[in-house]
Amino acid sequence: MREYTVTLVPSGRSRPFPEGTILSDALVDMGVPLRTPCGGRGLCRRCRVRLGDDASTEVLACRSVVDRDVRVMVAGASTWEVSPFPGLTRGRRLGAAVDLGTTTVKVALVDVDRGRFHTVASFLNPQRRFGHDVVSRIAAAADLRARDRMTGLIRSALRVCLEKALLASRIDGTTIETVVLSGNTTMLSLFFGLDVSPLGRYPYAAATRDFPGVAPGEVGLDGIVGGEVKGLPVFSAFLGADLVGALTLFGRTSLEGWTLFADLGTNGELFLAAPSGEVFAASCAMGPALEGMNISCGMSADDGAITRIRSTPAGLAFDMMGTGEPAGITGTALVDLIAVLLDARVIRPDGRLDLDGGRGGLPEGLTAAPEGDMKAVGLWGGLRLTQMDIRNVQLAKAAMHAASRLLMDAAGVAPADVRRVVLAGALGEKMDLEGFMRLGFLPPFGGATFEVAGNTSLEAALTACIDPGFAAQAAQARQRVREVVLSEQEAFQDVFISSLDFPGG
Amino acid sequence: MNDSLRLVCEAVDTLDIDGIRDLVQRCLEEGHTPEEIIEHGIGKGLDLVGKKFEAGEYFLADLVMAGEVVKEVMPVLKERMNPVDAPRRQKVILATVEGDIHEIGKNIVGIILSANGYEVVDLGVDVSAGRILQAVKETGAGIVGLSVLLSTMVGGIRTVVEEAKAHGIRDRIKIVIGGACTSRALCEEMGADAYGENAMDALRIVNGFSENA
Ligand code: B12
Ligand code: FES
Repeated sequence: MREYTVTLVPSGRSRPFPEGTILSDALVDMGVPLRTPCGGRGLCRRCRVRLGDDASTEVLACRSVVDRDVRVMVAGASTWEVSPFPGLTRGRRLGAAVDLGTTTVKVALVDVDRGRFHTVASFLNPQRRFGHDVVSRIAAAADLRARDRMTGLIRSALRVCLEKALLASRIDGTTIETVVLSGNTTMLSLFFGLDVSPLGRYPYAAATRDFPGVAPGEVGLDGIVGGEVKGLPVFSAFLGADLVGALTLFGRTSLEGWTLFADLGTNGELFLAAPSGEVFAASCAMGPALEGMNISCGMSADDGAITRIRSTPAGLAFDMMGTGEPAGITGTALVDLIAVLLDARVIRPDGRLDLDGGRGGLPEGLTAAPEGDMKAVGLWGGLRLTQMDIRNVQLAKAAMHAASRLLMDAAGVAPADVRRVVLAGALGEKMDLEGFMRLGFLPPFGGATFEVAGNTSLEAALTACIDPGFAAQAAQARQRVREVVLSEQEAFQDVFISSLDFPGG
Repeated sequence: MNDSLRLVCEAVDTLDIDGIRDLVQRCLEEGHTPEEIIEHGIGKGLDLVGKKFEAGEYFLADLVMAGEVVKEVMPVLKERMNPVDAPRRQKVILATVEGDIHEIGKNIVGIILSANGYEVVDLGVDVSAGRILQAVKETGAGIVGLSVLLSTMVGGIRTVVEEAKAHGIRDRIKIVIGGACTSRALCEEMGADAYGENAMDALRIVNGFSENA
C-alpha cells in the first residue's frame, strides 16, 4: 500500500501513513489532542483543520483521508483542553487517577498528602476507531499489530494529557509519583499490553485479574511518572475494576438493607448488595447510546452540545456549551428530551413516534421532520431525533432494566425490598434521576432512596492514589461477589423484550 | 385485491390477534385456497410489518406479536391444505454460531420464516459446526441460516463453510448469515452465500433460494 507523509505546521514534525488513513486518526496518532465530539460523523464540525502552507483550505479532519502528502496547520485546531489544578505548587506528592472508559477517558490529578484532587481532562478514547464497544476491540486485537496500536494510542494519549495537565497547572517538569487506572477488564488489559483474546471467547475468562504496579517505562510514561503505574483489580471478563472499585468504596460505609448499584456505560455493570455482605453482580451490553454515539444527533459534552433540555411554560428550553448553532445533543439531554416527548405523548410507551394525532402534540419549537420512510422530530439547528434513535435508547434501557430484574430474581428479592439505589458512571454525574426513571432504565422500587454517585470508577482510582491499602481492600471485596451471568438465564429473552417499553404515562 | 384477503392482510399488519381467525375463516368460506390466503393475505401483511420494522415504527415485541398472529391461523390453513398443492418449501436450519448465545434475532427470523410456510429446524445457540452439518444430513435441509452478534465469533461462519466442504456437501446447501456484527463484506470474506440485514430480508433471500432450487 502507498504511504503519504503528514506534516504538522508550524512544528514541522512529520510521519508517513498508509493511503486512506482518516486524517483525524493520523493527527491523534501524532499526538495532536484533536477533539472529535461527535465521534467523527461529520456532524459537529469541531475537528476542522487547515491544510497547506498557507492554510488556505479548511477540512473536517474526521471526513478527510490521507491521499497525498499533506501539511496540516494544527495551531488553530480545536484540541481538547485540560483544566489546571488550582493552587497546586511544586514539591507536593502527586498522583494521577484515570477512569479508562470504552468511550470516554477521564483523568484527575491528586494532591496526595492533602487528599485534594481535580479532574483535569475528559476525552474520547482514541481506540474508538477500532470499534465502539469492548467486543469489537477484542476482535480487532486478534491482529497483533492492531492490538499494539490500541495499546500505543491510549498510552500516548495519557502521556499527552498528563504533560498538558502539569503544564497548565504550572508545575511542568515535576514527576507524578503513582498512576492508578480503573476501568473495564478489556481497557485495562489493553493498556497494560496483555492478550485480550480470552476475554472474547467462551468461557470469557480473564487471564489477569490484578494489575500490580509496573515501572512507568513499561507503559510509555517514563520521565513524567517517577514511581509506578497500576490498575485496580477486576472480577471477571465483564465485571471490571469500575465495579469492584465502587463495591470497595461502598464497603467502607455500612449498608442497611439491600442496595442496588448501577454503573451506566457502553458496558453497564450492576451489583445488588445484601445487608449480610453478599453481593450479586451482572454486566449488560447497553451500547453507546447514552454517550451519544449511536444516536444520529448525538455527541459528547463539548462545544456546541446541548446538555440539558427542559419544558417551560414558554416551550422547550435547552442549555448548551459554547455559542452558535447547536451541533448535537449529549446523552443527558437525550434522556430529558425523550422524557418530555413521552409526557407530551409524542412518543408512545412502546417507543413509537406519534406525530399525527398525539394529544397536545409537539412542544413549541419542535417540528415533524421525517427522514425518508422514517419518522423524526426536528429539533434546533437542523438536528433531529429519529425513530431509530429512540429504538437505540430503548435497547440500552432494556438491557439495564432486564439485568436489574434478573439480578433481583437471582438474589430472591423484590423491588420493594431494595432500600437504596445508587447510580454511577461518567454519565451518572449529570443524569437527571427523574428523567432516568421516567424512561424506565430501572423498575420502580417502592421505598428506596436514590443517589447519584457520579463517576465512582474515577473516585476509586483517586482513593487508591491517596490510600495505598485500597487495591488490597478491593481484592478482598471482590471475594464477596457472585456473578449472575445473564446469558445463562433462561428468562432473559422474555424479560428483555418486556423491558423495552417505556413506563406508561 | 379481494376484500376478505385485504382484511387478513390488514389484521396481520395491525397485529390483530383477536380478529384474524374469523377473517381467515371468512376467506375460506368464500372459497379462497389456503395458499391464496397465505400469499395474498398473510404474506402481504408480513411485508407491511417488515417495512414498519425497518422504519423503526414496529419494534421487537411487534415482530414477536406478528409471529403469534400468524401462528393463530396456521393450523387451520395447514389442515385445509391439499398435501399435493402444498408449496414444497424447503427446510431451513437456523443456529447461532458457537460461542455466541444471542438468540432473539435468530428466533424472530425463525418466526417469520415459519409464518411463511418454511419448516424451520432451530438448533438453538452456541451450536458447533459439527452439529449443524449433522442436522443438514439428517433433515436434508438445503438452507442454513447462521446468526452471529459477537464480532469475536464471526470465525464460526467460516468453520461451517469449511466443514461443509470437507463433508462434500457445500454445493448442496446455501449458507445465509445475519446478526448485528455481520455484513455483505463479511459474507464474502467468509465464503457464505448471502447476508440478510433483518428478518424480512432473511425471508426474501430464502424465498429466492427456494424458487431457484
Ligand atoms: C439482548 C442482548 C444480549 C442478551 C442476549 C439474550 C438472548 N437470549 O439473546 C445477553 C444479555 C445475554 C447478552 C450477552 C452478551 N452480549 Co449482548 N446484546 C444484546 C443486545 C442489547 C440486543 C440484541 C438483540 O437481541 N437485538 C434484537 C434482534 C432482533 O436484533 P438482531 O439480533 O440484530 O437480529 C436481527 C438482524 O440482525 C437479523 N438477523 C439476526 N440473525 C440472523 C440470521 C440470519 C440467517 C439472517 C438472514 C438475519 C439475521 O434479523 C433480526 C431481526 O430483524 C445487543 C445490542 C444491539 N443493539 O444489538 C447486545 C450486543 C449484541 N451484545 C454485546 C455483548 C458484548 C455481549 C456480551 C459479550 C457481554 C455483555 N457484557 O453482556 C455477552 C455475550 C454472551 C454470548 N456469549 O453471546 C455487544 C456485541 C459487540 C460486538 N461488537 O460484538 C452488543 C452489540 C452490545 C454492545 N454494543 O456492546 N447480550
Ligand atoms: S468529529 Fe468531525 S465533525 Fe464531529
